[in-house]
Amino acid sequence: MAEKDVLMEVKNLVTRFYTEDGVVKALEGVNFNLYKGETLALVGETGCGKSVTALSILRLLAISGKTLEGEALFYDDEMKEKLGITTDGPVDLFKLTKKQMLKVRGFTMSLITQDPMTSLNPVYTVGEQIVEVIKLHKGLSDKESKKQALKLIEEVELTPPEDIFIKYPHQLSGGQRQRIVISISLAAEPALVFADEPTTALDVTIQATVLGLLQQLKEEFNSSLILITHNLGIVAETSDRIGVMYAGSVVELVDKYTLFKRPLHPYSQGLIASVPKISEKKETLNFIPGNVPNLIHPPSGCRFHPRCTYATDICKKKAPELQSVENDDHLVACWNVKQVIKDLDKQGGASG
Amino acid sequence: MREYVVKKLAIAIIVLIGVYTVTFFLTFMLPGDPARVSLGQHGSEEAVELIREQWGLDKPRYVQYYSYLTHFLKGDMGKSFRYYPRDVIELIKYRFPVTAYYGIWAIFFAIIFSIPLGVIAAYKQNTIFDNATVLFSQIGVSLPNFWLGMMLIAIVAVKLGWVNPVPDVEYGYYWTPVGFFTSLKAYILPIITIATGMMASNTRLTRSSMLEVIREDYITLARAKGLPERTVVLKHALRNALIPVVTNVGMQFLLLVGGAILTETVFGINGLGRLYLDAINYRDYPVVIALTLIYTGGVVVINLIVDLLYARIDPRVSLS
Repeated sequence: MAEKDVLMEVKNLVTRFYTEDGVVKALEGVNFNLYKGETLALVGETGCGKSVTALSILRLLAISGKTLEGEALFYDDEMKEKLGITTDGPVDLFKLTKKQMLKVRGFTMSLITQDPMTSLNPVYTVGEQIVEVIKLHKGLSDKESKKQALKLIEEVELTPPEDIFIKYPHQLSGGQRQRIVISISLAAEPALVFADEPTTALDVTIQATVLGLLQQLKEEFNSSLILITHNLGIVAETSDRIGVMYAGSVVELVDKYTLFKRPLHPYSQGLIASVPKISEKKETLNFIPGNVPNLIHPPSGCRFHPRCTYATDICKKKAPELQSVENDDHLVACWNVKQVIKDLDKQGGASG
Repeated sequence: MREYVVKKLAIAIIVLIGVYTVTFFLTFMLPGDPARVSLGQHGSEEAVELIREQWGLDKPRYVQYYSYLTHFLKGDMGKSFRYYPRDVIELIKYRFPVTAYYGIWAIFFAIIFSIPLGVIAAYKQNTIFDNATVLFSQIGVSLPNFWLGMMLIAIVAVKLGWVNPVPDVEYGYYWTPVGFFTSLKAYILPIITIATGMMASNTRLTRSSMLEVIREDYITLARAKGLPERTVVLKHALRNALIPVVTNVGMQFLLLVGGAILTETVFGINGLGRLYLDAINYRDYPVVIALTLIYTGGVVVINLIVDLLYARIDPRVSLS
């Protein structure tokens, strides 16, 4: 990355879900920053809070969910102009009114959901669903909006656009639908796109093309991308930096090369090690002992400590903060990271 | 689409003939001789025989079956036994406007209140408003029509004296442009009697259907587009949520017939429901058969309309 302008800083995001079984402590202080134009991948096991992070920032949680604390500071002049904010400095999304959020959603930030089979409204044509966003945020006439929508359909490589425009979602394949969802998410040229498992529901054969398309369009539209996935293969392929999440917080944040070569958080090490390598002959697969914690009664202190081989007393008492280790761009939240590094150096720097 | 309609109507003819056959033989299995019933206890045996001959009841069953069918297909529904020699069609034509009048209002109210109630209840799930809606619709669904009618008469008409227990509007006036609205007060009790159950079931269905739709991914995506809540609910959610409600409303047109029998008995209204009931009691076979066939035809037509509406609302449904 040539320029390193920050687009968004997420600080100490705390989100809870109030369910009949109890309070689910879904996010417990999520911190990360996002640069302009980069692809940041959020990875982790199911239930670690990847999607909740996106929905919290979009402020689209289900009624039972509530973001109690935190800031999402946004550095985007276009958004400030749209909202009519003239003061200097970033805008905290959580301080905006509901009405202002309507202008932000779709225009500054958009969402690509996981399952293209369910993410388009079955009773409207895909054309109508694209036009809707263009009209809403660009205030164009019907004719102009349609023209733009046709252009977008062409951009996502569906042809002929006129035919696709009048199709209903059920008349398209999964891959085609996900392309439509992508075109909707980019329709107002947002600064940030959240892609929540954008290819998980697709056939393996078309996953790569859809991802490639997303990556290419993101660059063309000058957007940043937050890619939420549990698939480390996708991460290695498409992202610039990776945020590893565990049980409601980001435990390691670093560029992808470093993460795969020299992960420093014990959880990241386990995660990377658990990916089977075809070149290695092995009887058993590597895995992290223990289970994903119950977030209604999460472990005290560092939530990873019951499964961690490095755990000491302090880990049980206090949650560690995300701090730079070795260099400014490598952030790890672990009390015993020095010990981890020592062990790594003993092994000659190879990953565990 | 035209092909579909034609096909459905062709099937309807087979259905009608089947229903005719069953009704025809069922009515004749009822105990009691229509000729005897019409003359009463003191009619002489000869007079009864004469009438049997006149009405064709002395002929073999299959001859009667065939002769009625051919007449019916020509549009002749025969003459009423009870009101001989008046034509059945004439009786039905006379009674129909009464039932149609309060029936249409009942369905109108059942739709106009239930859908907004269901939508708001779903949207405000687990609030007091929602709980109250669920409670009242549960009660509404459970209340028997005739009991509700009698309670309304006892309380609203007799005790409070707000309206006449029996609708006191001149025949036909309610179908004049002014009368259509001014007769509402006189007919309000029968309308409430019939509409309550329908309204309750529509409300419940709208609510549960809405709750399901609101959790769909495309609703989250619609919100992520930056659409205001009103557009999300009214444009994206409601149209999907209404799909099962349309079927329900269609069914309610049919329930109207059963409801009409009870309601008209309770309120002393001379409509189709009463005609049907009396015809059975008086062994007025031509009227019973004609009304049954008309009812069956109504079922077919309403189902057809529901199908067509379905295809309009939901593009995934194809008519073939």
